[in-house]
Amino acid sequence: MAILKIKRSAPMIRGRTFFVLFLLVGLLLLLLAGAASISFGAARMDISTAWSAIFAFNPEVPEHQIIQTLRFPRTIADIVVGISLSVAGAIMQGTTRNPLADSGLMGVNSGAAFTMVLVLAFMPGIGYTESLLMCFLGAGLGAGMTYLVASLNKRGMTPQRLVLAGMSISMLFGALGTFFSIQYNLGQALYYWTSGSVAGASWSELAFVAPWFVGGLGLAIALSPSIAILNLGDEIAKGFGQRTVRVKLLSTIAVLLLSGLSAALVGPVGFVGLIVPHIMRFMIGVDYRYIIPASAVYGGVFMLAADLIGRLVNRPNEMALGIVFAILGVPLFLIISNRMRRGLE
Amino acid sequence: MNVTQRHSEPIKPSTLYDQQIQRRRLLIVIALFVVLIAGAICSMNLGRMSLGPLDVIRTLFGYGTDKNHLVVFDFRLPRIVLAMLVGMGMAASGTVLQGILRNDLADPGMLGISAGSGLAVMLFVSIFGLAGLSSAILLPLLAFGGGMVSALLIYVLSYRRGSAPSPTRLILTGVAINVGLGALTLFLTLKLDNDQFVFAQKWQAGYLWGDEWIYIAILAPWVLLLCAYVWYRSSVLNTLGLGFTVATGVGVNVSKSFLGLALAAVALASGSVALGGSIFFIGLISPHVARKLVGPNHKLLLPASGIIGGIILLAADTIVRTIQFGADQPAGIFVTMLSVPYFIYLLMKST
Repeated sequence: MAILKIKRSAPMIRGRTFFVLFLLVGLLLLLLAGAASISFGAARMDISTAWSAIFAFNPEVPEHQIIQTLRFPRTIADIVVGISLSVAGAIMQGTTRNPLADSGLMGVNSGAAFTMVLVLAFMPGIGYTESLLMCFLGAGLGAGMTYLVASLNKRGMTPQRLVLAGMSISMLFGALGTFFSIQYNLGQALYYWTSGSVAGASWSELAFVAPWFVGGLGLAIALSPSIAILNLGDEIAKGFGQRTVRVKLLSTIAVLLLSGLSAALVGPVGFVGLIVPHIMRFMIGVDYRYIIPASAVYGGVFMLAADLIGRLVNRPNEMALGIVFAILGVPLFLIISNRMRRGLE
Repeated sequence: MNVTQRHSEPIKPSTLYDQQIQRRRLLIVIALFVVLIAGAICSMNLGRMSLGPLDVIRTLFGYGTDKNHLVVFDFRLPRIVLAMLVGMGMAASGTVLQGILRNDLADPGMLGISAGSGLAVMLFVSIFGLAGLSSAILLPLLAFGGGMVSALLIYVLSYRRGSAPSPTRLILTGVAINVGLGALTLFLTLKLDNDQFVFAQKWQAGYLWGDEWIYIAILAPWVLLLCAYVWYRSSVLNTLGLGFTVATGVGVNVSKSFLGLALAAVALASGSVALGGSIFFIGLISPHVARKLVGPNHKLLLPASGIIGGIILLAADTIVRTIQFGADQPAGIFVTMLSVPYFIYLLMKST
């Protein structure tokens, strides 16, 4: 996969003030999108109902029930997943120096999908929280195997080798998954899960992923200065006195935590982790100290917007997240890669 | 797995030692061919009805019983020939694409062929249902058309007037178009009923369904002629591998050769995908194996890679035909299961 360079004529480094403003705008957008996500849906409610459902909850009012048990956890799940995937993608792109890297390449999604096949085939009656746990285990298994394969080489692990290993492990899990799914005639039950949806999110699941999320995000933010240096190249990073092996190991752990929890929450959703860091790099430049927090904020916004569009376009049915992402993301991706290419030529 | 490394090896034999290597590599290609033919004969013996090797040979020369004749000529032979042709087509296409895009991870899926043909098949299944499959000359045509159209779309979107074709641009545009077409496919998939869904799923995993002589009569000249064309252009492929600047310097018309070879690769893959489903992993893995065995010179690499593709798909399909799984499993799954361990081994060995 090609490694791109950012426009050389105008080095995209903007100041701290711009970054702070950009982040504040992002937070504002996040709040607005969150409020919209709570009040719009199959049944529309005005913002004051939503407000009172959260702060003056009255179990007698059906709208309050909807908001408390469905909309509010769903909104939080959107934000959590958006942040996790975008930050994981930003870390992957930063450490591998490959703008096409994405947490889906780590074998996380395919591992989770494979365990989901096993769950549907052999334990059909299992509860939601148990299957969530299984997905998390599967994500860990996929990532663990990827990591093992990549590090078995005598010369140690490189990010490039990690991507290759992730690709082959994904292929293997995909083939095994298809085998079982045809053998046991699972058909579309699986496909609904694969296409990604946050509709089923509830408070107990959010509580389940919360510690992993906080840990992963904290680790990512703490690592972001090191990743910014690592992004200049291994040799340069070593020259600065960085322990590159340790940084790579820690950032891999952060990616695993974040992408594993989102695969467990909503299924194997791709593309957010690819597109959001791209947009951020386009807006604020190549400094990963800024890209990682900005990806977190705008990842949440992007995910909320995508989910909202999916809910509103085809009412009262919902559109799968994968489709909404493609509609939003493909033109954006084409435009951005076009701009960057022009810089390259 | 390192592009620069693989092209730094000298391509023309100059010393006695090099000539010996060259001769050994030629022998390897011949040995591979023998393995392919032997595999085909073994595969004819295997199946749900057992036939001894002698029975098969007798039947092939026209002295078998009517029942053996039916089993060999109407059931086993077309499927075996199809597996070999599809494997060869995919592998040759992957080799050419890895050569012209100068990227060892390129495969025919990268230029949108898998997504495009997948969408076309999904459209067909969701509009006509499975009943339409009985008169299925339209399905392979649609798959072929879908693959070609999406490849052309990617080419047009990444086209810049006056500049040489850039692999980076093609790959990036390919990623975006693949995601877009994949989403449309997903949208259609969610509307299918269970039987339609299972067919689509098998097709996506690589399902050799076009095993009738009439299809093979169309596919065989297509694959063989295009393979002959890319083999004829193999010295140009070698030169393009040195970099487009160098290639221009030694007098190759880069834009024209690139377009010709890319078209041939897309046509090969679309033809194979039409009858064999998306088995793109063969296009990725065969050139890698072949490069390990016979080196980077496309004159030997192309035939070796094609034969290896045939062997892999034949082996996978024989497994599917012989072992009873309860459900009808697509061969593509076993291609992946057979070749991923080897790919991982390569990854562990690479420097």
